[in-house]
Amino acid sequence: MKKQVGIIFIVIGLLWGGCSSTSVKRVDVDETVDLSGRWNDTDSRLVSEEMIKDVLDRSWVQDHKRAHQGKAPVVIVGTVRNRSDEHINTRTFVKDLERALINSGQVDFVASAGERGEVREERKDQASFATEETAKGEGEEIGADFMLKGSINTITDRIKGEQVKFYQVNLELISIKTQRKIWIGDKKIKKIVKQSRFGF
Amino acid sequence: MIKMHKAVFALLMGFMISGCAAGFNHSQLNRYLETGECNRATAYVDQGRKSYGDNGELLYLLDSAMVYFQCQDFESAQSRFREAEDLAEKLWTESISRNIAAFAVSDNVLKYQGEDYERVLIHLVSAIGFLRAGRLDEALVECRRLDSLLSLFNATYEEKNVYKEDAFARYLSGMLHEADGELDDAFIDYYKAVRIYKDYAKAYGLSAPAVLEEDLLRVAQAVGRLDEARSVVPDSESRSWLTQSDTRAMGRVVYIQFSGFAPLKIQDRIIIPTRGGPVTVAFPRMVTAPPACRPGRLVLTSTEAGIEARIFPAEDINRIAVKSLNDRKGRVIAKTMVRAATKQVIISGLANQGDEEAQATIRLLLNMINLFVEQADTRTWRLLPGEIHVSRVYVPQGEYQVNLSLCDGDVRSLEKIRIAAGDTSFLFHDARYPCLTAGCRQ
Repeated sequence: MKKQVGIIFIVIGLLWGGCSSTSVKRVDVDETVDLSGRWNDTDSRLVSEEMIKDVLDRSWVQDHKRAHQGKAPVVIVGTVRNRSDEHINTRTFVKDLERALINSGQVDFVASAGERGEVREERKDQASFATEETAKGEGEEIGADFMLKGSINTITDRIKGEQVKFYQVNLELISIKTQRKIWIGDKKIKKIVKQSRFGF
Repeated sequence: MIKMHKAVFALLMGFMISGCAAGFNHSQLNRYLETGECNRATAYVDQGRKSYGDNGELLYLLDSAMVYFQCQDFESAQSRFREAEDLAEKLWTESISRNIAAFAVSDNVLKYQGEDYERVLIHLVSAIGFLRAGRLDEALVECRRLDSLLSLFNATYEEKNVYKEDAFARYLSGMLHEADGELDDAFIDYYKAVRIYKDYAKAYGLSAPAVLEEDLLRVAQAVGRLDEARSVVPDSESRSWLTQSDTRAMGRVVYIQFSGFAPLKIQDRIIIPTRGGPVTVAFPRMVTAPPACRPGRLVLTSTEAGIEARIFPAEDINRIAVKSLNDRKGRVIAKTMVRAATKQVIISGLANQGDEEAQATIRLLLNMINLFVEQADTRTWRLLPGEIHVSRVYVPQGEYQVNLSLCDGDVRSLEKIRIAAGDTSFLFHDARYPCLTAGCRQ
């Protein structure tokens, strides 16, 4: 009898399911945390920093300065297309690129197309409501010399419980005046993601 | 006394396992959607979350995602689709404890992990949701995810399943690539879509829409791969199609329609009389209800012209569902038979004391209880459509009233659109809930 009752309790215990609890731990933003294996903030930051370092190490910055009386090239970040099989927020990646470019101090940087519209609205507003001394006039914007644009691509291979993710970020620097491609760079990341096949 | 304890324990177990929630009332939800009452529909599905039961979380996520999709709250719909996708993936990695219980009792003690075709269709509906929200890049991401998931299933089942690739998703992906100006990618997708439709014709009796074949021939000509295209469109010599330069000054309208409901699963029970009482086994079976009225034609009218376009069946979810269940019929039968045998072993173990008559009585009692406990898993994503239809037409730029000519000759007004040269306008309509996209008739 005891044995039978024991079996029944074991079955009931198995059926019961697991208890859940929530815990929160704050971590440094630079700390690498990989949960699902998907593209994350660390990938975005590392790729942008490495690729900007690569583009700025090339001769085009000095070439431009020599040809323009020492003036730093003006760069704008265009579109980075998501051609991957993940919903990647390319806006945060573009922001990481912009940050890395500005912090380099080697190039000047202008606002993107979306941001320019808002600034122009503000200038129109100033023309009506700000004092003459402080209102900013039209036609004083700095035009960009180069546009940085690119795409994020993935190749995924998986079997049940395990997958290999290969990311390739391609960026190109294009001369706005001549359409000439000044630099093409890529950065690859490979991840192996294992998921436990069994769990209680 | 001992016998009483055993019976009580068995009864407790039976009730604990089979005592499921009352279930979600889909009829009420459908009424809200049919009458276009979105606020009520979204509130109803969210408030009814508990009715899906502890094991029905995935079904809640799928239903609520579809309701928000229908009600054009695409952000909420997509976040639920992502949750559903993650949960289904997680549940696919099996839980030992639940599977042991399922073998001993019923599949209903398992958390619902979704049929494979349902998991694939999460991506298809999500892609259409992104299209409706004007986010074409994200729609393409969903097409890629769909393809990746099907590859995973093919690798897992060693290509024994029929639903290996999704033809309509490929066609959609091709149209998106073409809208993006990526003609080489569009060609590959159109070409693959036509080939997959050949498999669809054998498996589901569904051939490639004529507009897809025309798209393939047109793009193939533009990228210099017409011979390859002709190899999969046998009557291409006698076909005429608009060339890429013909379409340059025109805009493209792509119309996607959901029709009817996906099949329901019902239970088939077999009761085998034995000396120890009735031994019960239960199997799921799909029951389809194809839409009574299939779409007729798409009619675009402007001040200068009236253009009609044929609407083609592009995805038969009813047949995909039936075939998918048939594909795994062997696994379902094996599991059910193992369960029936396991239960008989447990029942014999519980009824091994007392005299023969007492043992026979306990065995009979426990088998009677098993009549109620043994239930087939009949859970499905109830709000999926049964069929998807598509139309594609090139029109001169301008403003158009889009109408739908129905099978009974009636005409339903959909929406007004402005088409510019080179643009693609994606339109969506769900014939089950016309109030949501075409407005209610008074």
